[in-house]
Amino acid sequence: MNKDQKQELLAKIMKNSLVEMPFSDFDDQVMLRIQQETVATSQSRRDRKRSSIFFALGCAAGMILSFLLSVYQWEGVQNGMFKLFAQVVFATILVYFVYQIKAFVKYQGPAQ
Amino acid sequence: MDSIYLRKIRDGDTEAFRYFLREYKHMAFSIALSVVKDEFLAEEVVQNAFVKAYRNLDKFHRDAKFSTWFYRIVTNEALLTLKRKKREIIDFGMEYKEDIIDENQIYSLQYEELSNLVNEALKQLSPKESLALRLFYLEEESVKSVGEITGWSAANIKVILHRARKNMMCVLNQLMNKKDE
Repeated sequence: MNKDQKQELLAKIMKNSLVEMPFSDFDDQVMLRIQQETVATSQSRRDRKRSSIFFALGCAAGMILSFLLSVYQWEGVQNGMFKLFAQVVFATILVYFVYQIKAFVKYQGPAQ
Repeated sequence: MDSIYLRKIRDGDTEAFRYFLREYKHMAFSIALSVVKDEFLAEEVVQNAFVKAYRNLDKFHRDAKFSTWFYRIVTNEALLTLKRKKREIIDFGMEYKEDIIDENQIYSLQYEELSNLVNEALKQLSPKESLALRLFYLEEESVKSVGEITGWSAANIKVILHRARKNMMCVLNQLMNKKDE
């Protein structure tokens, strides 16, 4: 048998190398996964939108509060210390939420 | 046909994706089996590949061939699964000796017998050789298309195919001699 004949024989033999998917519920399993992912994706999109809105509202509220604290004189309160305390708390909350959002985005990353 | 169903999916008809499952699952399973050598793992690979393909349909360039794009996903997923399961692709570069095969013996086999023999032989080849043979002969892909699916260079594919053809004939010969004993 020469090289061309061998190649021809191999080509004919290889036509029998298709292995059919042996699992009868394969199609349904895949479609179920896709449907579940679609629902989870749209839910997570809504959650991300909501969390961004609340984060923005929280930042705005914190900035307004900081401003008000620096402007108004509170009776019986050492203004300077209270202002500093409020600003430290605000900065801590801000840093914490930025960290949470970064972690959330990182978690969502592989799913996309 | 592919573009019609892609349009349907883009328009929100998720069920239209079943067309792709029907058309491509068998070849995808064969490709996955070439690499992972286990039916249950291959099923897992193909399932993950279809889900990934659905997720990334918006990244698929409509003027390209869907099969090339999808089989690339299957191949990458199969290789990733091998890595995850910590199974190494140990390519010993086995050189089989006897590659002279009795053509008449081959043709005398029933379809199912021949199919089993061929798939048993492919199981014994390395993942690369088995994959290259299936893509080249079964899908009748050109060397260039095999390269697009696997990421291998044309020169590398030619070397793998050359080795794979030789080894395939040898393994078939060995299996048929074993059968006769």
